Amino acid sequence: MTFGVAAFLWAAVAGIIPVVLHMINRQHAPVVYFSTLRFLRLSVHRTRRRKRLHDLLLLLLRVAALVLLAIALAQPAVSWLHRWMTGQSSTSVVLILDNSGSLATKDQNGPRWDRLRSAALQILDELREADEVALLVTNGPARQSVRGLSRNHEIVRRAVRTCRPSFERADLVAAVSEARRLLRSAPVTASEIYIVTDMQACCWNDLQRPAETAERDDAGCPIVMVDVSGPRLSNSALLAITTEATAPVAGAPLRVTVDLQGDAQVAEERHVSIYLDSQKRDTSSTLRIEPAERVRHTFQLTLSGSGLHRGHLQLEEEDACPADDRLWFAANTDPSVRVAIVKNAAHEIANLDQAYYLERALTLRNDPHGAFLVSSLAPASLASMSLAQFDLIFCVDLPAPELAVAQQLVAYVEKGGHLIWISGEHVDPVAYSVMDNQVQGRLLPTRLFGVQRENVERPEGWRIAWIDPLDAAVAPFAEPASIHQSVLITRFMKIAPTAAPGVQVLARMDDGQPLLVRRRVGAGSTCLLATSLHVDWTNFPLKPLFLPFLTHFAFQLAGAEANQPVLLPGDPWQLPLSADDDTIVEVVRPGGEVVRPVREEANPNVIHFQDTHEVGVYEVRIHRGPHVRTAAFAVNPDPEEAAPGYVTAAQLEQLLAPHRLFLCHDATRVSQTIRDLRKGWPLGGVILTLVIVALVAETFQANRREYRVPPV
Amino acid sequence: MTTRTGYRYLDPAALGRVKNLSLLARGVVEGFISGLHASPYKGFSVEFAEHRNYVPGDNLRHLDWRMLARTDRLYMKQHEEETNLRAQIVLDVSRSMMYQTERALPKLQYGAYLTAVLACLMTRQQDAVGLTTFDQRVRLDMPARTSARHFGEMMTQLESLVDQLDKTPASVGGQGTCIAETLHQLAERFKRRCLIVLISDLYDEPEAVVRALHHFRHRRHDVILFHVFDKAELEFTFRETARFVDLETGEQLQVDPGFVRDHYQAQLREFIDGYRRACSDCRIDYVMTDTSVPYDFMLSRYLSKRSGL
Repeated sequence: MTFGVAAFLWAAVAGIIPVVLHMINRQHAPVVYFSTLRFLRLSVHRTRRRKRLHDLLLLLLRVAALVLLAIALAQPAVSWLHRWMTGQSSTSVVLILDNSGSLATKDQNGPRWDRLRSAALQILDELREADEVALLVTNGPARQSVRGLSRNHEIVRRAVRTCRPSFERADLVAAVSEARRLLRSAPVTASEIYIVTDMQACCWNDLQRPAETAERDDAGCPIVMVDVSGPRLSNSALLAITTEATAPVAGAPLRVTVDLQGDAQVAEERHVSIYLDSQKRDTSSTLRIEPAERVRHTFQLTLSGSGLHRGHLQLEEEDACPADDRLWFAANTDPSVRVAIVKNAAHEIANLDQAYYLERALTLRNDPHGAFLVSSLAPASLASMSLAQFDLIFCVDLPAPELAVAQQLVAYVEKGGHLIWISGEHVDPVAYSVMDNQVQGRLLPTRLFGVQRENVERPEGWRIAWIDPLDAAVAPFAEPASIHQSVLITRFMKIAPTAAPGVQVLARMDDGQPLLVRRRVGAGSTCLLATSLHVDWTNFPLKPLFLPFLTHFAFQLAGAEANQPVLLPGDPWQLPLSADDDTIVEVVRPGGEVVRPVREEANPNVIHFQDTHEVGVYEVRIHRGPHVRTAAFAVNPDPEEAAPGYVTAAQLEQLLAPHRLFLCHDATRVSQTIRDLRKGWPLGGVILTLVIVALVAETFQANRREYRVPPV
Repeated sequence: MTTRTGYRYLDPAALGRVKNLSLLARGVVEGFISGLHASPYKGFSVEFAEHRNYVPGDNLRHLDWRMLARTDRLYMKQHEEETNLRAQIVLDVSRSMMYQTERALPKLQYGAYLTAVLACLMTRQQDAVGLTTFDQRVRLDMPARTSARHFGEMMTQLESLVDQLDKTPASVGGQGTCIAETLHQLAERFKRRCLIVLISDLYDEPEAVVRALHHFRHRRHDVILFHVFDKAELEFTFRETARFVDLETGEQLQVDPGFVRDHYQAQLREFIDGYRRACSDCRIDYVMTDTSVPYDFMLSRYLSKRSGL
């Protein structure tokens, strides 16, 4: 409680007057001579207790009337923003600004962001010089916040002015928890939390209370929430985008699918356009969005030219929130995967060469910038060559390599290379086992047991019966079964039927025996195809499945894919590396700024890039020695920000208990609201009413015993 | 102040109101001269009562000669003899009787006025009137006489006593009243049947006083009890808390009248009802009055009612 004129409280001392008068009256009662006291004596004795209570009550009423009058004159007020009487020296304040995507919305009374900024500045204007303030901006780079309590209000003002809405979803529950932590460490006991937000439901953690619970002392820290939302205009949002490309090559079709949703009460008609490399490529037909329903539309494009392609989808019509009207995507064609095909001496008849079909499949385009840069190597040259320059190495029908070569191959795999063993006549299971043992089993994904040929039981050989539908390297070919059931295998290398720990079976034949297995070793992997890639063993190279399967498998192993990942703002992008890998990564932000993320000491095998607050396409340049590989990822607005749900005051009160919550609905009158809250609710009227009640009660009580004509 | 009658407490106006009324004894009284009241004695007097047979030795003066002529038998006449009333006015002059409120007579003066009128009335009736005053003991005891000189003496004594009592400061407390004991003494003192007129506030133990009244009745006295109060005693009209002082004992008590009034009045009612019942039981005329009621009005009403019975 606070007092406007606290000096009047001294008048409460007047409450002692009735006590003194009472005592004086007792001593100086007038003397009355009466005929006899015989009846009075008994009457006094019988009524003594009642009289005492009556006198006490009367005394209390009189004292209360005087004391309450003094209190009423002191202009009391109840304010949760001031714990003690006026004159408190300072307050610690945490100002939380919600800069989630929805704050970019325009309402009927103007942009929410403008109201948010105005409200924040009004709050800062109401601070006293000695007050400490911290600013927590829910999204975006940490530099936007002023995370320590400071008496330099100008820094905070500047931060408020330069702050911008993000494209992310806010976590206000976490922000309140952080505010509590800040305030608990403050030396000043008085504290306040201000939250400026548009009351969107998705920012409140599904109304789940945080793991860190409020303490009892937090009850003394009020939370003032300023609602900057206004009468809403209708809004349509692009929610999600998916891209599909069969192969990261120019000329391959690219499908771009987008989901839209509107929040209007009536159906709306919208158009979406797709842009690729800054050129408008297509516009959708009229899309009719029913209330609370999603609409999906797919664009079909062909990527021309190699390299990184940047694209975005754009909602053509203007609406309340422009932040959710655009979604980005990236496609990387011809990623220049470096492939080495290690084979025995080339056969004089080209098509009898074991690697013939493989080479043809990987070198479809005779283009120095093509998808695969293929080098054919002899086994002997491996020892003297730096294998790091290759993304993939195919070992085609090779005898078991020597120890030195095997060790080099192991090192190559462990540093992130991918080795694919192709079976053939020259693959000796015993020698391979010896070789594998020499390198502690790190070269082969599994043991080899010998060649199985077609026989009486299997006169037609074996067919591919199952392809792993969950592994990205082979999943596109898992269904329908008809696309792989036509592949016939007449000879294959028997390998362990069940996958050992760490070994993944990617394809099986119709008798259940594995056909293609993979094992991760270090940062890379080693794979084994149980059959050869030559018609002697199988008709696979002659089937339509062969080319897309092989190229897709190769692209996947090399990490090259047309569909670049899509992240939400604030999500980290990661690149796994080996510890002694000297790879350098550069990230080009959508705005053109180049950043070099460094490895963390705690986890040197991964490069983290955290600063993904800007939406758009981020280009990643991976430097491995002289070679540079390009990747990309897109960052798009959080689709939850387009969700129309809003929280109520009752829900927030329950969530934020024991903090006392004050809601200010008019963002233009925040200053007045704060002043009213600090001044408190006046109690003068209430107390004066109590005074009157006390006086009336005193009058009644004092005159209860009225003179009446006795019926004697 | 001395009235035109020459006596302070004998107001001619009051006397005028009751002059046509008479105070008759309820039962027979033993008077010593002819008066209004029936005598218990049958002797030779003016009014024939009955015959009886002649007994040798009777005085032939009272022989009924007509009966002899008619019946040849000897009969003696007997006559009722009307005789006078012997009355004793017993006035309580204790300190409690000194109580008065504004615009009202002290109870004692009220009693004095009442005494004077009664005494005058009875003296005119040729009744013998005596006066006894008492507080904790008998103060004045004048035997019943019929003469006017005796009446004057009574009035003088009464005035002197009242004056003397008036001069005693209220702060000087007495020792209370022993009504019962004094009444017992008086009951023994009055040998012959008479009319006892008791004027008092009876502030004593009711049971003891009632026993004393019974004593009077046992001695075949006719008793009239004037129970005198002040209006303030009946209604307890006090408002402010005050220190009440007992006029008789000097005892003090702080009282908030508003709190005790109901209880006090209940007790007083019970006190009065007790006397009323007791008097009714032993056929004593009980007259409750307070000093706000003019004594002559009260007395004339009572005498009229008594005559009607």
